[in-house]
Amino acid sequence: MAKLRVKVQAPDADRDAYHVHLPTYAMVPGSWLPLIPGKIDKDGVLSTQPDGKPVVLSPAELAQLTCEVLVPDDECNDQGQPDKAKIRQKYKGQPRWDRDDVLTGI
Amino acid sequence: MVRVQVARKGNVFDYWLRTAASGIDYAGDAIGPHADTDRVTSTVPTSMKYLITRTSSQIIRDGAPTTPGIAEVWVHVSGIYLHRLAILSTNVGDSEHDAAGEGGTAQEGDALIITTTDPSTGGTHAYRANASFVRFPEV
Repeated sequence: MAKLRVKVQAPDADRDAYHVHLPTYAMVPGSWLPLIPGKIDKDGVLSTQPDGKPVVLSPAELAQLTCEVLVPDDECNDQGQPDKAKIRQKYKGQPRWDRDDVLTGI
Repeated sequence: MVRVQVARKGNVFDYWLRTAASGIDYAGDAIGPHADTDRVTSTVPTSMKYLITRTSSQIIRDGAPTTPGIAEVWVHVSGIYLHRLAILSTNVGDSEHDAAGEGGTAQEGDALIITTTDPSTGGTHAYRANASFVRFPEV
């Protein structure tokens, strides 16, 4: 397994939870950054602020949101980074992963 | 004397023998409140299937909250629940656990996922969740 820091994606049409745009991963507990009191903790985005209002991240905050993940070796290159060709081959024909921009923005 | 031979070619157990049991697992202690988060994901590779054999999960209140919320962990295949566990407690040490034998399969492109959530204010939980499966080629 390779450990790397990647962007965390907000819930979207494909996933209704915060997630990482990789086909197979395991989040490392306590690795979330940046830490913003009342909004982002070491293990995720808070659902409510101390005053009970829902947490809403600004686009700038969301763009900086990262965590560490473990990724299988057979999806990484020799430098331990996700490898587009390997991922496309392993998930060949799957619309979400077999595409040119599969690793864009991770 | 009659010698009996058992033909194994094409036997379903051949597929079981070819691939080791695998699984996904999440273990986190002192995890603070958070919105729904996919902690672990395993997408079924092309031309493979997962035969899901077992899932289990546990939540332990390990830090007292200011205001408790219902903390949950669930194991699912692309949104289809295998099981979902919840706890609402302010008492450190309270816990819930669940385990189930499964007979489901996940097809290529499906994602086997462990998701957690905790809408409490303050406090922490420890989470344990896993799913075991056997991977085999589609036939």
